[in-house]
Amino acid sequence: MGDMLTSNDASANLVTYSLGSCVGVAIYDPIAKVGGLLHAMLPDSTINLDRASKRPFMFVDTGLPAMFHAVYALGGLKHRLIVKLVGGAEFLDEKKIFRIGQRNVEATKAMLERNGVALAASETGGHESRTVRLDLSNGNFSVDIPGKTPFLL
Amino acid sequence: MKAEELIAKTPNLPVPSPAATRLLQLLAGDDRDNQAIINILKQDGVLSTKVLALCNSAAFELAAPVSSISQAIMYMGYEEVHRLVMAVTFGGALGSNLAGYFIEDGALWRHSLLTALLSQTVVRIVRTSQTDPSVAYTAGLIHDIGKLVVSYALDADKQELIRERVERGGRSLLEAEREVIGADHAEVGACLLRKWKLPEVLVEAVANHHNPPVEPRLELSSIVHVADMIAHEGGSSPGWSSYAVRTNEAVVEAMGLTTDHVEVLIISAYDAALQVDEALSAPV
Repeated sequence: MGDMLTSNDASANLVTYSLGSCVGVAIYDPIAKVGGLLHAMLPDSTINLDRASKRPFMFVDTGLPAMFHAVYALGGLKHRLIVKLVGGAEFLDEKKIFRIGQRNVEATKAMLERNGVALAASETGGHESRTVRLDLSNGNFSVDIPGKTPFLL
Repeated sequence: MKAEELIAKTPNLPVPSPAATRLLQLLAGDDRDNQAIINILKQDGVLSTKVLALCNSAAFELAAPVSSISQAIMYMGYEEVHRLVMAVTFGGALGSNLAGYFIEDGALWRHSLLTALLSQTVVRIVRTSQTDPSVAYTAGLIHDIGKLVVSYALDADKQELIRERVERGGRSLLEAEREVIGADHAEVGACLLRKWKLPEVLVEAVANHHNPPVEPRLELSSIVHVADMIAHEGGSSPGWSSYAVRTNEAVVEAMGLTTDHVEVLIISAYDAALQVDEALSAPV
């Protein structure tokens, strides 16, 4: 949570638990077999810039570019990256005070689009807390929801 | 089924010891002096031993070991002793696997500790609140205690009925619980607390933590409600369909909380989660 994992070890799995309203963004280069997984909690770092400088991965706007650069440093190439998005669960609410999940998803999509990065797949919204796993040997990205059968996205 | 009947059928509920009950009752009064706490703890061998063990552990870095409860309370302070007693009393049961909700071992205890800490944070943010930090902590810690009973009542068939109502009927988990077993975990939790003769301020907070009253005034339940929602958004949302809950938005507005407050609180939740995880992994 509020963190990021990268690896160039093709036998590794990158896992993050219980995404809830947070977003999980997985990126994978199938040729170099390197990847990254971000678990960001909030859309916009301007709420606490000091925190963003210490913990960039808490926020979508600072965490996404930091993850992409970390994966480039491991040999990943932008045009080969397969990008997937999970999370952004929402309460059953009418108003927007707590609508963090939706804003996390919107911020992620907007930033990817601005940077010319296509989203290969996404599974967002709903009322479930999701655990995700990126298998660096083949890029399989699995989603695990309590009480349900895990599936590949 | 009524709350009392559901409770009667549930084994292994964490009934507080007489000493723990009296410490919990002290939360409601203003006569919470150290002597009263020492007298209560001295009558409970298990709690006394645990208090001394914690006080003499590396965490407190004492030059020489303490051997009496009165010394231990002096070094640890009331709040720390109270937290320990609560952990001894409720930690085991709240940390168990709750199959009815698909909650894994330890996940509800982690959520409870996080909600307890965040309840104190919310009290600090809502400056008009006069709530005592230990009262807020305790209410946050036991807000979901009714889930122990409801989970036991939810066999596979009833889980399926709940799922149908939540996924296709647009119900919240709480509403689905009421429809399927006749009571929800908030109501059952409050019933448990009354049975254990715990103070009304805690009963209110547990009973109303999903739907706190605004009128005639905000109660402790409003604090626990917000802390619970923030704990969910801050990475502790145990069980399936755990976001199928409703925020009481009138309460959030009456408390003067904005989206910015919510984001600041989510950052607090991150810090609180680090604190909780460190405590949970510390050797005892």
